[in-house]
Amino acid sequence: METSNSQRPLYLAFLGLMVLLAATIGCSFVFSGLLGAMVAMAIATSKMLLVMFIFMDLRRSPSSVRFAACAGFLWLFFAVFCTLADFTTRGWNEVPEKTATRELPTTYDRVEFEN
Amino acid sequence: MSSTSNPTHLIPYDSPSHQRHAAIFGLWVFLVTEILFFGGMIVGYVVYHYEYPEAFREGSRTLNVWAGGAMTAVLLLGSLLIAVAEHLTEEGDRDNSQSWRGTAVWRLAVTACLGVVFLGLEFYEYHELIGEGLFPGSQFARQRFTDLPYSGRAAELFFLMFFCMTGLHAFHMIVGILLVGGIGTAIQRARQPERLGNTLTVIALYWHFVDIVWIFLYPLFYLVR
Repeated sequence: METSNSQRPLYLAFLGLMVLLAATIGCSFVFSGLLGAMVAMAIATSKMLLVMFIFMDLRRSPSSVRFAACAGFLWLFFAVFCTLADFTTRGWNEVPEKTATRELPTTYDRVEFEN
Repeated sequence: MSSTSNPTHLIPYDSPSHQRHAAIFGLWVFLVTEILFFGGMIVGYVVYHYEYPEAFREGSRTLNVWAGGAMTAVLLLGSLLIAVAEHLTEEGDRDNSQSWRGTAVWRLAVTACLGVVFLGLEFYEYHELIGEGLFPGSQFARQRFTDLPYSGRAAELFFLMFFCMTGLHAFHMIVGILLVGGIGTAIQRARQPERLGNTLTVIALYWHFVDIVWIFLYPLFYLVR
C-alpha cells in the first residue's frame, strides 16, 4: 500500500525523533552535570510531545482527552516540584554525598547513628 | 470511525464516534494512573540523584550508552509502525475495503518483534551487569566504588533504581507485546476487521505510552554521566 498523505506526519515525526535521539546522545558527550541533565530532559520532553501529538494523535483529539493527558503530567510535576522544593530548602547547604565520610558497616543490619 | 450505513457502535453510545471517544478517553484516564505509578519512582530517583550526584554519574558511566540508544530507536520504530497500522485501519474503514488488512497485520507483527528485540537487549544488559556484580544486594561489587561516599552504597542506590524502573518498564513491554500480537492475530482472523479499530487504537496508545516512559528512562540512567 502506498504511503498516503495522512501518514506523512507519522514518518516526519519518526524522522524528528531519530534526529532528537542523535542530539541527546551527542549532547551527553558535550554537556555534563546539571546542565547535561537539563539538556537531556529538554530533548526527552520534545520527543514526548512529538509522540503525544503525532503518534497518539492528541492534535486531533477532543479537549477532554487533552485535559486528561495534561492532568497526569501536571500531577507528576507537582510531585517532583514539591518534593524537590522540600529537599533543596532544608538549609543543609550540602547534599549528604559531599559531607559523608563515615564508613558504613558491611552488613545490611540496621545502622544506628550516634548523636 | 465507520459509515452510518454500517453502524458498529454498541448500545450505550449514540454513534461510532461517541464510542471511539469514550474508548480513547477511558484509556487516557488509565494512562494518567500509569504516569503516577511511574511517578513515585521518578520522584525517588530525583531525590537520590539530588543527594548523590557523583554516585549516579559513576553508575551511569557503567551503562552502555549506545545499547540504550539502539533500544530507544527500536522502540520508536515500533511506535511508528503501530501508528501507521492504526491509520491503515481507519482508512480501510472509511473506504469500506479490506485491502489494508495484510499490510496492517504485517506492521503489527514487526512491532511485536521489535518489542521482543528491545527486551532481548535489555535482558542482555541485565545479564552483563549481574555478571559484573552490580545487582543491588549483599553481593554488590561495592569495591568498584570505594572512592564514593558510604563505600559505594550510594552507587548501589543508582542500580537499585535502574533495575526497579527498567524492570517495571520491561513488564509493561511484555504486556504491550502480548496485546499487539493479540490484536494482530484478531485482525487477521476477523470477518469484519474494521470493527477492531477502537481496540487497535487503545492498544496503540498504551504502546506509545510505554515508549514515552523509556524516552525518559534513557537519559535518566544512561546519559547522566
